[in-house]
Amino acid sequence: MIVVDKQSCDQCATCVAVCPVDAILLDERLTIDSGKCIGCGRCARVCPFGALSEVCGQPAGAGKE
Amino acid sequence: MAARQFDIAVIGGGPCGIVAATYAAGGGRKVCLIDRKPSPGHPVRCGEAIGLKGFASTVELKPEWIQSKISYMKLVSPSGITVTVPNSYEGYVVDRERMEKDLTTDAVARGAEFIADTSIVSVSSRNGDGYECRSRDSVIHAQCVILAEGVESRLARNLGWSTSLSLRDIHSCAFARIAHDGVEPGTCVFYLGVKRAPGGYVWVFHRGGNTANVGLGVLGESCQKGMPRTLLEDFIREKFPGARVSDLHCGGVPMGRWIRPLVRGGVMLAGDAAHMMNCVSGAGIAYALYSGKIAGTVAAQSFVNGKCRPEMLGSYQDQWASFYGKQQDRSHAIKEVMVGFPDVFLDDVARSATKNCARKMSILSIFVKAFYKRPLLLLKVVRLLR
Repeated sequence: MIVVDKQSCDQCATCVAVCPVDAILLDERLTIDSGKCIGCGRCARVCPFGALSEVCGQPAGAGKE
Repeated sequence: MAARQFDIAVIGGGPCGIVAATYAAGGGRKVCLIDRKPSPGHPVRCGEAIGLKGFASTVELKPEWIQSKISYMKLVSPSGITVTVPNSYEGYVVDRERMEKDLTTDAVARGAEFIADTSIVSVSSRNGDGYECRSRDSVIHAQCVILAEGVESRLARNLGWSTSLSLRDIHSCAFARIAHDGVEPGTCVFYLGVKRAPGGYVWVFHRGGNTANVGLGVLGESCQKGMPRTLLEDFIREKFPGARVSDLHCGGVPMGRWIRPLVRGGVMLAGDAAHMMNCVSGAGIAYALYSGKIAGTVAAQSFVNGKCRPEMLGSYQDQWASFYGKQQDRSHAIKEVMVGFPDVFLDDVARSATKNCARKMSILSIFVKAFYKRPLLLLKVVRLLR
């Protein structure tokens, strides 16, 4: 599962551009739809500031957000 | 919630969307320009370099936007061999924030309504009666929609487009502005090499005085978590020690083919949202301005008796394809080959360029000399370019 570190996120939407299942929404802030997310990790890989992390066994949104 | 009615809704207030709204409103339609941010042009996620040709017939370049006139292009190979070429095209580094503020003022003067601070979360068809654009607290109805929302290109997915970029077709980038006495005036410098920026490059564009835009792009495939930022900070420390660093931002740059089709029903895709980009130089401003202009113009012309005729929007794609579209396709083929160039090859190219007078040599002849030693690589290039 993917979690967002709000402090590092620059809201550039690079993660949105590569998400294959449209699970990421950038509105006032970045949110990940854990129902849609397939955990492919593309977003975490391309985030230029490293604001997204893959976390084992936790739903998106849990942990630091 | 009462819906506001427009003929044409432009979503995204970057250079593409602003110009699209200007031309659409100039064509006599009721137009809105919707942006997520409170004001246009901020933050800038860009190197801000553009050739004079890129403005041609789209917007008039204002002298007050110019931060630096680019007289030289420099390429630094992986092992540090520098090739300097006088810039044969008139080019500038511009203040994009100022440019976009001025262009927005022009759009509003032409009659477009600028709706700021509004994030559209969905666009849906109203079954033959145009489209509904929804934000969290407002609804906008329009006959025709121009999507210029930038690289994320998410709303297009609501309407059946597949805009998700493969990791081979995106550069993950970090940008900063620096002040340092080592910045070379009037020069755009590119640094190549897998150690500096795997699958991409670092750029340093003079931006007036002792300041420069410094940026770095890494190919998605070669990227690891947070790599662009780390590499950019390392680069600045190495080349510009003690520099004052500001405006650190990041972003994604599409590096694939432009999306086909560009039009579905009454919806048009433009700019970064349509993945319009020169895949070799990473130049996107000119493409954004041009696609915005033709999208806006064609959208306005498609109205007959107050109704948008979607079948008339097709000329947008034809015009795009025959001008920048063709150029992008070529640049994409070249990029595909360049990604496979080993660092030693790039060093060879640079070496042969410095041995000869670069002024008299064409880029092509430099490459031909370098390929001479590697016929298999040449074969690959020819196959890809066909």
